[in-house]
Amino acid sequence: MCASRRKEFWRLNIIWWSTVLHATWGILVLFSPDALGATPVALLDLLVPGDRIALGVMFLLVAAIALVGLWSKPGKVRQLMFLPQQVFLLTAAIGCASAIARGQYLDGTPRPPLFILADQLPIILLAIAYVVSVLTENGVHHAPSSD
Amino acid sequence: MPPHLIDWAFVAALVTSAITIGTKWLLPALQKIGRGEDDASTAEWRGRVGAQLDQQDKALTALMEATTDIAKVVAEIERRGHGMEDAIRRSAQTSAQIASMAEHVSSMVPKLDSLLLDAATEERLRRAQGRQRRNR
Repeated sequence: MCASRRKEFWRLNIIWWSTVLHATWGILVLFSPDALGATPVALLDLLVPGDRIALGVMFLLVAAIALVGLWSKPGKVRQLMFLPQQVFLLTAAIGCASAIARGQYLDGTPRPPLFILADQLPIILLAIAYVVSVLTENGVHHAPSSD
Repeated sequence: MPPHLIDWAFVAALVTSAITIGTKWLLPALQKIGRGEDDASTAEWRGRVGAQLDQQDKALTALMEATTDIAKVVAEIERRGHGMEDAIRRSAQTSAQIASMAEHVSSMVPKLDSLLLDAATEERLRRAQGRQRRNR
């Protein structure tokens, strides 16, 4: 695999695993209200307060749109399909950053900022990597199992 | 949870996404415009480079012709070299034959000597017998 193809593979994998993450969040939120307290989910819960079904469907919808985008032909429509997930991921990352800054999870649990940083860092890094991936992806069809 | 966190977080995410997609779409367009300007400004330069390339092409053609001639000369030298090599090999063979013949001749010299001596002795005896016969 050449360097450019390897980079494209990593970019699409970041989008792919973000899709998996959002689909999982959607399923968990639909399955139980307990998942709503998790910091990345708690902030997005405020988009549709008190309606976890709507939030779960939104998560699944966002993941589905990104998934369709991964298998779409290269073009602007495909690039737009990655954006809803990016908005959700960035919102969740900002919620995590806020929790770190305040030293308190969004469900109200107080913890040292470094504790929350260590806990929520993957979401923040994933959000940054996602933005970079969307910005630099070339529109090659995704085939995670073949590579 | 801070008040209005979701509002500004969501707006920030939207703005970031808008910037992302804007950058992604605008950059190629800007590059295209830049390329167009580049085309206009470098047309003369390309003409000059083209002329230089033509000259270099002619020089290269001449060089290739000269190389072909040199190759012919080298091939002729090589052919003659092969001929000389054959001649030297034949000369070496002839030298060996001459040497063996000389050896053979030198081995025959003592025999020839003894034959000549025998013949001389016989001739002397025959003369002596003839003299004796005449004296009687």
